[in-house]
Amino acid sequence: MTASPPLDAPGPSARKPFRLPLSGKFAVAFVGLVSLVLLINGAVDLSLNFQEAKLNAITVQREKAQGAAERVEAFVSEIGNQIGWTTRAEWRRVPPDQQRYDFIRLMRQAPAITEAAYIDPSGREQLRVSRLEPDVIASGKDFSTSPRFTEALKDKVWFGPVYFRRGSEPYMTVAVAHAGRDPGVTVAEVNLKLIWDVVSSIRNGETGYAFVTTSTGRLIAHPDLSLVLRDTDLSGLPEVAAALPGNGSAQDYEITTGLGGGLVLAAHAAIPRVGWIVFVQLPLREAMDPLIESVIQTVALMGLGVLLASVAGTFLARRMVVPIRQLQDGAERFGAGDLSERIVIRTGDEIETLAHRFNLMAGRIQESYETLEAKVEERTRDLNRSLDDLQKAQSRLVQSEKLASLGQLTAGIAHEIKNPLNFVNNFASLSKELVDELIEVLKQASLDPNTRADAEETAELLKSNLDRVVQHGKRADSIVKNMLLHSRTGSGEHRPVDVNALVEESLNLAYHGARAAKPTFNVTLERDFDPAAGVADIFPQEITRVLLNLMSNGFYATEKKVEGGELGYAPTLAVATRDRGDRIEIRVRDNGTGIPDSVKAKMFDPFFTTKPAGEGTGLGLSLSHDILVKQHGGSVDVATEPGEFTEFTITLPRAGAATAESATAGSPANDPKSP
Amino acid sequence: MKRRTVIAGLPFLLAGHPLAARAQPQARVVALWPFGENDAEGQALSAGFNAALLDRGQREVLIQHRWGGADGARTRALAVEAIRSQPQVIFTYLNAQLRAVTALSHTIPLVFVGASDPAGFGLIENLSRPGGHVTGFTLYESSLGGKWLAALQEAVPAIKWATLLLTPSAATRDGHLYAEAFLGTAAALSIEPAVVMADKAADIDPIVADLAQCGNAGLIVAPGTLSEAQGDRIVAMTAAARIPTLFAIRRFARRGGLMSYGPNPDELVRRAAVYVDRILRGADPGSLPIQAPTKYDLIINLNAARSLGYDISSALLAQADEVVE
Repeated sequence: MTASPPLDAPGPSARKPFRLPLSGKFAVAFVGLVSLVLLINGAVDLSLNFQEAKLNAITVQREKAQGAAERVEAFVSEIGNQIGWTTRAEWRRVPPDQQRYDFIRLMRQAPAITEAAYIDPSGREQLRVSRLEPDVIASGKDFSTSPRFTEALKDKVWFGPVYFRRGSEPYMTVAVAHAGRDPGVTVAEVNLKLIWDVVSSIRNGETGYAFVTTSTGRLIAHPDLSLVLRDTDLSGLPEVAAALPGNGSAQDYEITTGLGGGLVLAAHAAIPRVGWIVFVQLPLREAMDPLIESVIQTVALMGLGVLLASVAGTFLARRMVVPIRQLQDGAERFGAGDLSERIVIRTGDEIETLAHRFNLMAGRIQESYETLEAKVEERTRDLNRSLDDLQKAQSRLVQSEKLASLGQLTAGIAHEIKNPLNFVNNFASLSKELVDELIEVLKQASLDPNTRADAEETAELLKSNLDRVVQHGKRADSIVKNMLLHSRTGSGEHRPVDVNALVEESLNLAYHGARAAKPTFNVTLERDFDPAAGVADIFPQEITRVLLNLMSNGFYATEKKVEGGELGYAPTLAVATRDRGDRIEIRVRDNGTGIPDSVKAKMFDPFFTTKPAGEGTGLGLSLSHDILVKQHGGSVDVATEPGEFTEFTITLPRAGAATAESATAGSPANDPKSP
Repeated sequence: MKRRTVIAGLPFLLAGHPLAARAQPQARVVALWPFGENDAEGQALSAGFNAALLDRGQREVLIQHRWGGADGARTRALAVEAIRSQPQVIFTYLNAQLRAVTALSHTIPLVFVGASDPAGFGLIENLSRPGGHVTGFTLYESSLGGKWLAALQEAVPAIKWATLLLTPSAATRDGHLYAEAFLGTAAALSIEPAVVMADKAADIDPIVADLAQCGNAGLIVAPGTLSEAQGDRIVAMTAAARIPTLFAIRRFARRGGLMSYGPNPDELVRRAAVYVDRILRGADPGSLPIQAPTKYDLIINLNAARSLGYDISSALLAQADEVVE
């Protein structure tokens, strides 16, 4: 059915719900799963990497800070130790020359100290030794209120603010109180450039650096000297604020805003001796560089993974769908009725099993289909046979009816014709006798010879004419007799007869009859009688008539062929009997002219004859057929080859006449109008 | 096909780094020296300079040493030539060389060793942050004028007259380096001071001759290009005239002068090389502070003392960083 879609429908695809093919579902599931795993893996990886990178960076920073702190501490320790030489309790009792020498030695030992001075317990400068200026002894300068004196006495050690000599040399005053009671103070001017060298040389990545502050957050050393020069207070800077003592922060690293802005990773280490703090900081971005690299790697790997998963998923999905497609195709072929093919799938899984089941199903259907066909064929054959039988019976019936009605007609006609014919025949005979009497009379009468002659001649002519009338009248009489015979059945009585004897008798009769009619007639007779032929219940007279008719026909045919003048031709008539169980078969075969097909179709019709006019009545075979079929319930068949042979085969039931008689009782043919 | 391109590109993505470092033109440094080409001191210092740069990993840098000696005209010609060749960094040793280069207009980074009053002459903004393209190391400070006299007086306590021999390098915008401290110390030590300026070698002879006539007189030779060049002659002249002499330049004490008090130029040249290295690596010379030496060495030549007939006190010898015997 090809119904056109409704006009308002936008199209089949619009209404059809979206269907993802199996391969698509599989691929999506596969790729999705792999992507999910990769994503989780990547996320875990990233977070681990981040922690690791952070820890690494912190470790590095911490180590650098500690290293820097150690160097700065070593520097400060060295100065402290060197100054310590001059802070012994008894040092102020040492002679000035020795004191100067000690200072010179101190400065030689500690290159950072540019100037050393001794302030006595009263706060007056007693000695000053400098690298740059002439030494001053007992200048008497009053430092008693200067913090270098007061603070040093109070705290033992005093670190002054950073100041710059000559603009670019960072200095710090370090004052150390002497030991003992009523102490003096040794003051050293320390060049911090050496710390600066330490700090500047701490290279931390590309842009990281180190700096040093005091415990109050004042900048002591920084790669940018100008910051130190400005006496920068960094206590406000988060990383410094967190590291300052008293803030209770145990953490020695920080991710915070750096000095120049921007996030930095800062670590610090304290120098306990002087209370300074060394900071090492690195921009967070730089510290996390390995992380960014690893992020790129992870993302790239993830991308690669997803790509591979897509390729693999698509490939696998296609692989999986191929057998399903084959299955689908196979099912379609089965559906279209092609049951001979089989689905071949070798995947070793459920689909193969399914294909196997499909094949089994197709096999079963094919088997039952073939059985059905055979049965139909058989039935058709049976039906055809029945139809043939029916048609044969019908044609036989038609023929019988035809003959029956003809018989009725002929019986009537023959009866009506017989009386006038008798008159004709009788009066013709009478007239012939009368002509004889006339001739006698004429003989006695005297007549002129010519007249006599004429009269005699005429009388003779009349006589011969009358002979002809008699002859043809007899012939007409015979025809009429035959016609009457035709319309009448069951002439004589039926009784069991020895078939072989009957056939032998008929053959002899026919042969001699033929010889009597034509003395030159010659034919070879072949007898092939089946001893088992036995006895049959028939009308012997009728059957003899049939046999005679057939045999005389055979003789006629051989005679025709002899007249054809064929060389070496031996006219033969073969007669055979056969026992066919409850039937008897009689065959009469001649090697005469044969019967053409045009004749064969009509030869059992009444009045059909091929013989010249006067030789046959055209009722012989018609009558024979009537006798054999109607009277005896047998059959007659003819096999012929024009120019070669003709063979009639008669089949008679052994109890044929009895059954046939009862079967045909009441037939109109049995009730002819008697003449 | 797109997919293929993506896959082909993946290794580069994963590699993460550009394949080749950027090519750099060869770095070049021109060094201008106040020595003749075959001068031992010049050779030693330039070798130290090269070695320091090599220590800092500058293997590829091309160092061109130019030897101008004490010849002002030749030094100026070399400065012009150096600037024309557009090196990455110019290095100068001593003030005259620095001034020869800075007298020409250019912005090539310049690292000096030895400069008198660079801020005063407008070469830099200030010492902690020079601000321009010039930075470097000073060798001496003006207060050393007093230190020198005190040291000479301690070695030769009998000294009554002292002459400070200055060279043009010592000139500042408003006077001379060392002179003020020298005069102040002389007053404190009751010594008759004299400050003389020698523009050329010939100026030195009359000064020495004058001092020889005084007796109990000492000579202090301030640093400078002329002193570098004429040091050996001064040593010979003063030895002949039996004048105790203190050199600011260390090596002349080793070469027969009585004593010297000054910085180690080799160390400063090496530190200057570090500045050169930092500038080659992209540092801004304007942010590199001008540095001064932290240490000055006292060198005493006992041979010279003996030949002059002086007995150096053990206290002074104890102070000496180096004693030549």
